[in-house]
Amino acid sequence: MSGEIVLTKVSKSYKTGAQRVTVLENLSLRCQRGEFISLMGPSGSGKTTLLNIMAGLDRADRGEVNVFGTRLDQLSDSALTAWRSRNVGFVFQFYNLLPALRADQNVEVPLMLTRLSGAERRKRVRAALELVGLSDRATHRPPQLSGGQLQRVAIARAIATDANLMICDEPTGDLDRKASEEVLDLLRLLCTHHGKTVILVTHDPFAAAYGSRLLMLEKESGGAQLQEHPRPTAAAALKVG
Amino acid sequence: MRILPALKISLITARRRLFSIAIVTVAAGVAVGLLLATFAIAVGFTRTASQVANPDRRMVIAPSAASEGESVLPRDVVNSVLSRLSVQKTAAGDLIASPELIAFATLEDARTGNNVFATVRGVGPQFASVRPELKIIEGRAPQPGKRELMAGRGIASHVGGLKVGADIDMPTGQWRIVGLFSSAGDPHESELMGDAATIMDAFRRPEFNSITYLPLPSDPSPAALSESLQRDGLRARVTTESAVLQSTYSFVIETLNSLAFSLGTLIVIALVIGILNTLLIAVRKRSTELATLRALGYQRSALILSVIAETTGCGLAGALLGTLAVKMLFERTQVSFWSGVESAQLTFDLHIGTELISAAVAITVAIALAVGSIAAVQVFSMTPATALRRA
Repeated sequence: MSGEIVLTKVSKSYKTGAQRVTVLENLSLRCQRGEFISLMGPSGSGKTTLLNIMAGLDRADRGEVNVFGTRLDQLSDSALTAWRSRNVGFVFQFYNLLPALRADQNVEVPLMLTRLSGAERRKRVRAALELVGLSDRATHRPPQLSGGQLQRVAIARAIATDANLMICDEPTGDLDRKASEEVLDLLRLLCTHHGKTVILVTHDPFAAAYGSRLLMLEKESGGAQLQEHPRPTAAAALKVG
Repeated sequence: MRILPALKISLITARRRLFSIAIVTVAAGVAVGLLLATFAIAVGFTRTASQVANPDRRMVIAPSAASEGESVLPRDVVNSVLSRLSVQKTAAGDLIASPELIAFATLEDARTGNNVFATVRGVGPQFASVRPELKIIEGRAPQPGKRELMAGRGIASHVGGLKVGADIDMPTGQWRIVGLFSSAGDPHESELMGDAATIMDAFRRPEFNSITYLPLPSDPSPAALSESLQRDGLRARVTTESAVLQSTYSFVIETLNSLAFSLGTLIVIALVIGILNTLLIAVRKRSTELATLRALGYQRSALILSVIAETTGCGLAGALLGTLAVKMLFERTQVSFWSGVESAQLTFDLHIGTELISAAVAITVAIALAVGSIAAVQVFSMTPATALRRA
């Protein structure tokens, strides 16, 4: 398996009413396995669109999307769905946990698609919850958990299948500073100690400072362009925040 | 495609959709109940009106008459006709034939005080041989020359006061009920029967309406017999009893079936509208859950099938509950309905049979499946990214 994520001249536009709006135009990107990439940009610059294309949630209109050796642009819808289940862990801004399920059941959701036995699935769930420090909250339902705890359950769900790519769309957007730090520390741990590739979309320079690289999407008339920026230091980020 | 994980999650999260699940289930149950009740009336009437114990039994009526009530057979015609037919005979040598007349009377229901129009049939001495399925279940048969009647099981249960020993007031005076009879569920169970000569005298009816008889195997076909009789100048037509029943009750049967289909169509439309709206709202409420599951790797087709399975399951559960309720409430209930013959009524049992149940349940489940599919496909028509953005 290749160790890179390579996007080559990727373009994406959306139809809104009668108009067609170009979000990304001939955008190229390369990142290595195990990197923690922070992606920032103004609202509407296409950050989430880019993230979705890398995660296989959306398709580029043109260009090549190669994630760890798999050409996502050449996969069918069902093949892309299957690829996501094995390779991508998602951490959404609003957690996207299933409220009717307990924390452990939520973590088990992606594992139910595997051929693991019930015992093996439960073992992985326990390990994931332990990693995020929520073993004692396994039987709690989302309404019984705080925002930070909810996001940690979401991270546990994302790592349960041992996916290599962590897609995080504003994971701290709904959290206070303390909870944000807990979540970001976890993401960094997954990257440095477990070799996960983390792509983090954020508006928050403090969160962006956790990444090893900072990419800025800058809105232009013909579609957003990606620029590498020096990543903010934690001190500068705290000052801005 | 693995559907079981999607189904399992659907089941667990169903607790948050209990309201919409209840709506779909109850709507399906009510629809099935109404469909069964509506069609049970049409089916029950048709079954009773068409019931003929012996399909070989024949009837002689006037050539232009479509029913016994429209037919007029003078006595001389009756005698002439009987001499030309090949009719079975009893051991004693009597023709197994019954010249009959029908009259109508208004009775007062002793329970409600309401007026009820009843058919009064005058039968010949051999009526029991002509109709062996007719069984006297209480009392005895009326005697010739006496103002005595026996009541069919159907009319006796429908009209209060028709019991053995009771005297009833008719326009022609008081008559005594001396017996009750059953007749294999045929229309005669809605009639009062007495001696033809006595009734002719009391109602001042000099003519018969029909002759019912059992033919010998050598008896020519009804068409040939009719032609022969008319060639001889006799105004009479030979047909089968079942053909006469069919034409007598056809108007009401067609009307009831049309009403049932019309009402059934309205019920189906109401069901579709009712559950489609509910399902669309319920599935849209699940849009975050479903979009997340797609993101996590659940195939769109599996999720669609899980939504459809839930809707269809609710439809089936509701249909079965509705069937059970209708069976418990209405099975074997007796209903009286205008027979289409003057103002007389036909009493029949409501029978919720297997065919009717299967049809009603199948229609309801098919609707639930179709509507569930519409709702599911609507929600899953977008890419996961769009679905997540809109969730």
